[in-house]
Amino acid sequence: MILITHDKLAVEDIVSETRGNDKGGVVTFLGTIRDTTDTNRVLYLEYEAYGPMAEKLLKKLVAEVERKWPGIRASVAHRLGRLEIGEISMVAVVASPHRAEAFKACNFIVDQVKSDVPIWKKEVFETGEVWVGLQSSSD
Amino acid sequence: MIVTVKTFAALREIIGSASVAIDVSSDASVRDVIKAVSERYPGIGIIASQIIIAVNMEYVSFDHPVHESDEVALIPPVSGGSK
Repeated sequence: MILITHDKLAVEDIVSETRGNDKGGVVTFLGTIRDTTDTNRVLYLEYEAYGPMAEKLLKKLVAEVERKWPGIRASVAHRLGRLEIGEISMVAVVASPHRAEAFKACNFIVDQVKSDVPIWKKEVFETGEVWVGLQSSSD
Repeated sequence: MIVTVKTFAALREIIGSASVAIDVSSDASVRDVIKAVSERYPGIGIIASQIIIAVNMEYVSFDHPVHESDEVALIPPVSGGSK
C-alpha cells in the first residue's frame, strides 16, 4: 500500500496490510523527528509534497521492489504538514518469505524515497529555518 | 503561449505562490521556462541552478519541449524520507 497523508501514521495498520501467512519476516522502518541537527535544537518540522507525483513514484518504487525481490510485499507511507519532535514522518514495511531480502528491500526503499520522490522537509530551529537539501551560497 | 508552472518548498515561499503563469514562445523547452521564471523572480537566485523539472509528473531533461496544456513543476532538491 501507498499512503501520503497529513494524519498520524497508523504503523500497526500498515504492518497488518503488508504481512501475510506466506511471509516469515517483516521489517518495519520508522523515520522519526530528531530534536537536533548538527548542534541546532529543532523546534518542529514541516513536510510538503507534490502529492500526485509523489504517490505515482511511490507506487512505481513498490512495484520495482516487488519485482526485484520476488515473493515480498512492500508498503510506504509518508506524512505531511507540521510534525513535532519524536513523531513518525515515514513508515516503510517489507514482508518477505525470508528475512535477508526484507532488510535489503526496506533499506532500498528508504534510500530511494530520499533521493527521488518530490517531498520536502523544512527544519525550524530556535534561530531560523532551512529547507533540507538546498545548497546555500555559503556551501 | 502561457504555461502554468507549479512551485514547491523554498521556491514556493520565495515566489509567494504555489503556481505561476509564465509566457514563453510556442517552441519553448524546459530550459526556457526556468529562464523565464528566473527573470521574473530574481529572488530565486541560487535555487534556480538546483531545480529539476517534471512535465506531466515525469522528470525530464532541460531540452524537453513544453506545451500549453502540460503540467510543469519546478522541483527543488527533495528531502523526504529519513537520513
